Amino acid sequence: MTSAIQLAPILITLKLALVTTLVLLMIGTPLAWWLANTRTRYKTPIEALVALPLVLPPTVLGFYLLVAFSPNSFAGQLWAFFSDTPLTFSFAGLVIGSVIYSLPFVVQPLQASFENIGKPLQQAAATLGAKPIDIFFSIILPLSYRGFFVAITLGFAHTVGEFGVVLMIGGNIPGVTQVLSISIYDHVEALEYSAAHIYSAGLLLFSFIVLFIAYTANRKLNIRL
Amino acid sequence: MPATRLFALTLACLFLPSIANATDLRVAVASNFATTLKQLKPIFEKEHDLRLIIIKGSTGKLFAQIIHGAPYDVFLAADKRRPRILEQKNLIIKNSRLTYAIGQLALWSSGNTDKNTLNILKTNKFNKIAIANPKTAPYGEASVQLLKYLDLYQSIKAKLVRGENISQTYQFVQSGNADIGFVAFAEIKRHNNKHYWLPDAKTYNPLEQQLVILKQSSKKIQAKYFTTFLMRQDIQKIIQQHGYLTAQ
Repeated sequence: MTSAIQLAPILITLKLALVTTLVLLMIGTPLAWWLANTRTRYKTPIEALVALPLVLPPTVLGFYLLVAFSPNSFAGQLWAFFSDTPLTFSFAGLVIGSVIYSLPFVVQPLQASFENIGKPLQQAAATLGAKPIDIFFSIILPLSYRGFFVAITLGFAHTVGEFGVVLMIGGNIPGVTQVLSISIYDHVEALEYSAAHIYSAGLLLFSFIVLFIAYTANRKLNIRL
Repeated sequence: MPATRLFALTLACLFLPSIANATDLRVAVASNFATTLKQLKPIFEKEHDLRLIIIKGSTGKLFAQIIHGAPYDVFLAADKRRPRILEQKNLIIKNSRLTYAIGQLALWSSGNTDKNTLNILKTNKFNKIAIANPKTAPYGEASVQLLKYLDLYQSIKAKLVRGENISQTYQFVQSGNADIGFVAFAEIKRHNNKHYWLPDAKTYNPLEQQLVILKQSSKKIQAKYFTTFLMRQDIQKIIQQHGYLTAQ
């Protein structure tokens, strides 16, 4: 009952995790920065919103995305304006799902590390004439590199471990949306346990290494996750 | 001490579900037949002093649970392959393996574009076509056979999306994310869908759905009552009305 180990699911998983992490850095950095500095009363509800994917079952997210992506929905029609192919069953759709799904894993460590730096340093820079953008790039960014490191590793690893959302909106297309976790699920269903074992052991080892690295970095920085 | 009492209560709760009712019969059923079984449940329960507990899932998942000792009495699969493997593994009561229904494949569209579903398929006027995963689901395997028989497989291959099981495949079309899809005819009957095409059952391998009584069942006699009930002529007629063919 063996079947050949295929490379495509591994490559798609890595590609998805990479693209998702990049998008998350672009969205998550300003968001975390804003959360670390804002005094608005909306801070807490927004923090709660960001943390939602930590507690929500992926099926809830998958279900809402399936409804939202449908060509019959408002969001689906809006998307149809820009592209001929619907978001469901597409790589772009998976990226959107993964960005939401892994958002807290990037925003939270970044926010914590921004908050760690504290105000006095920023104020000193400001009195010396640095603009907020200057302060961010020449003080905050270099000082929070470990926070970024944790955010990148966790965001990447969590996306690699995604299953429920992809199962609901992916459509299991080999070479497009069939990620590693789905592939394992298929092998188990098809009684191809040896292939499932190889993929699973690989993922287990990979996840352990990533977490080990992340926690080591975390200990050195002593930030909360 | 409240803590001790709480602990005792928690412990009690742990054991509660394991006290199975003496009249409970656990039937693990493939998703596509679950609705039909729910209709048959009250008829059976009226005739026998038993209560059917229906556990619904994909054939593959239920099968994996059974070989790992899941406490079911009867298994209604969506294929004959899994029941046969259970027989080879000596996990079933001898001679209990029977074909209780033959599934029918149907092509379904939500009817938004063309009322003629077969036409949509042939003219390639759809965004995506949903099928059940051919690797794991018998209905998916049959869908691919049929598409190859129609000589359409190569031309529409790029538009295929695969549902985890036949219910998810139905849901892909129902939610509008795929224009058309191959689903179980039973599902179409259940929802009273108008726009479908029922292909000749000879154009794909028959979807023989088989049942077995599991060896580890503690209610073998009651399980036998149930399987005899399912194979009875009047019950087979009801199964037919739900969109299946029968062996007789």
